[in-house]
Amino acid sequence: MPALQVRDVVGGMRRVLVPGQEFSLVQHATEQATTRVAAVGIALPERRQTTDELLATRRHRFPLPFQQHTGIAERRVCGPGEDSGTLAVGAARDALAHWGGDPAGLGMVVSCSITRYRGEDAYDFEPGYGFAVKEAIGAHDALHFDVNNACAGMLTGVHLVDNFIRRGVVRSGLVVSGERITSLAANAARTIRSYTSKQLASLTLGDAGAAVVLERAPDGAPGLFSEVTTYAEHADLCIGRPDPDAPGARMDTDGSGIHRAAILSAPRTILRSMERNGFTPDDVDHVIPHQTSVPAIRAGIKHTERKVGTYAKNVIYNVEKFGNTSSTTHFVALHECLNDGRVNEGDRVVMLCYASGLTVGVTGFPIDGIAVDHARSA
Amino acid sequence: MRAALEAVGTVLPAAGDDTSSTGLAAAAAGRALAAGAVDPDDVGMIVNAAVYHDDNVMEPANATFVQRALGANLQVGVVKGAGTLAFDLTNGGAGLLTGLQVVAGFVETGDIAHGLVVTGDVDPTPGVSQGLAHVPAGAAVLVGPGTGEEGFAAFCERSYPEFADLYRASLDWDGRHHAVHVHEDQTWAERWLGCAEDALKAFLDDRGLAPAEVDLLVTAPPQPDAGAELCRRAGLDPARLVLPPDAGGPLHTAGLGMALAAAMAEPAWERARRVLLLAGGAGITITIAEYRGRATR
Repeated sequence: MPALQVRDVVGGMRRVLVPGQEFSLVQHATEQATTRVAAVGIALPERRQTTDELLATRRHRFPLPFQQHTGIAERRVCGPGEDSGTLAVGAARDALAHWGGDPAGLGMVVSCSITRYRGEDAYDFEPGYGFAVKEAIGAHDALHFDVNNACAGMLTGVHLVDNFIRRGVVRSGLVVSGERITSLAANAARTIRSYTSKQLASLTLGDAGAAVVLERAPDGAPGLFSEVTTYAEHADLCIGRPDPDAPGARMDTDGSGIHRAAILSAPRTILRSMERNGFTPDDVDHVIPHQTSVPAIRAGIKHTERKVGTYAKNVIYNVEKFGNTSSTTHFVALHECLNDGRVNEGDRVVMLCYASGLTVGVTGFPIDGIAVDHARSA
Repeated sequence: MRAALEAVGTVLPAAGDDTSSTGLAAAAAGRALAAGAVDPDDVGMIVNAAVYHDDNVMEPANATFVQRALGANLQVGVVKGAGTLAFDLTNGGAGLLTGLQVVAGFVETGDIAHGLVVTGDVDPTPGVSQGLAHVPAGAAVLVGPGTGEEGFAAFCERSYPEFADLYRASLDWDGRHHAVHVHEDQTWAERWLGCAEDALKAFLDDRGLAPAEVDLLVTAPPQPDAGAELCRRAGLDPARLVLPPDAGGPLHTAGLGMALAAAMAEPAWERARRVLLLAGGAGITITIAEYRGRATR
């Protein structure tokens, strides 16, 4: 890789960034770089829990055809020794193993976990997970911090790292998340009494870790584009907080309300973002939406297609096998599709996120030599 | 174009005032917007750097509630440009400055016109928290395009993981309820000072700056007297040190915002050519920013 020459145009200072010797000083690049997705990694708990097994833990039994209504057959659930931290570090190591670069050369590490559970009972505040992950992977000199933006967390992290790369501040960065989030499902199963319970959506959740390495694209190469917007009038539609009666957390969701708000806001955000970045919907080969449930994804895509005026060529689902893995869903899905050949070199991918907030985001990029382990399918 | 400091708003609640995390952050943000004469709809990014939120809400981002309180681009279809992105960003006691690094970048690239970094740490589990010493406080820093050379010129972050266990905080389930537990080792403040000294000397060296070229050092150490000691060790004139006002107890992420507000209210602010902002927190992580002052306009 060539050294990146960066100039502080105001101060007139020149400095050469050599891969493996990055630093976190802001410098002003003369030309904006673009960002490429270089490697993707995941970490999944071994244990699988079927929807029937989850429903069998309910304290209050009532007819609940949850699998038929959501399409979710199973999800992964953390076992002993697995938690948000181990999933995040595992996913980071998986991505780095395929990246080929020196972790010590990463310019920044951004952790995006909603759940920062150490074991079952402790939620870590300080130091943050960005710090813990960077130390675990040997990226000691990387700028680090934690982002919390609900299920839009990783795409928000990508949005931020892209800005640092475009400005020439760093040459590469890692966005990572580990979600031990099924405590919400377990707590919901113990307490829901009817199909109208606000905790019903918690039953969709699954545990997973995901990581993506971003780096400066070769000069002239098409790069990543990203836009994330928050429509805060909908801030109350989904609230997650510690469960007052049990370890872990609970989440109260106005499911129909947040779905309605998401499908109303998404097409406008998608179109605006694509227009700003010279994309048309016809340029997109694969759409990876946030994985909530099969009917919700289908309804959202159908509404978006009507508003956008074209059909998505390929919409990727994996919610049947993994449930809603919150901030990690997009990169868990991308990893699987790269491994099984559904997404290939040269394809153009758009990720869509709808998250509590309400946050709507779009991230688009070409598949250009993304490194994953093709020998190990999710 | 550099990203410049436009205004800072702070809140130290009196008895009977709103002491919610969102309330403190939103009130401080409102003051910053008013002082900067910026419309909330022109704020493209709201970053909440608080670590300890109301009820420990994990989602949505607590910044969302601040955005709603400010009325910034709330509704689909009526937003300005790309609207407002609101999210939480934490980096312990260094979070406010890390948030400024992020927001400054988006202002520099022209992706946003203005950005806010807000904070408002509170006690999320009152009555059962252990070791949580900070007093509730709100701060908000408004950033926008600079004039001339004014603005953020450099940021640097250094970590000292050998001291990671000296300050740890978590929310723990004790079998009956959740409670915040903060472990602060008795050597924490001294180690913080040593790390700040090391990071500050390295920053000055890296930037080719002599201590005498620093017109102001704005920081909020764990103990107030550590500021003067830091200046002494790094060779800076203690008269150029600006600390937050006495708040009746330690300030967490709001401390740097409070110190910055104090600095910007000083006549020396208008004359300053080079200001350093220094914040540190668990890790130990020290973040430093070089700000070219108003005199460079």
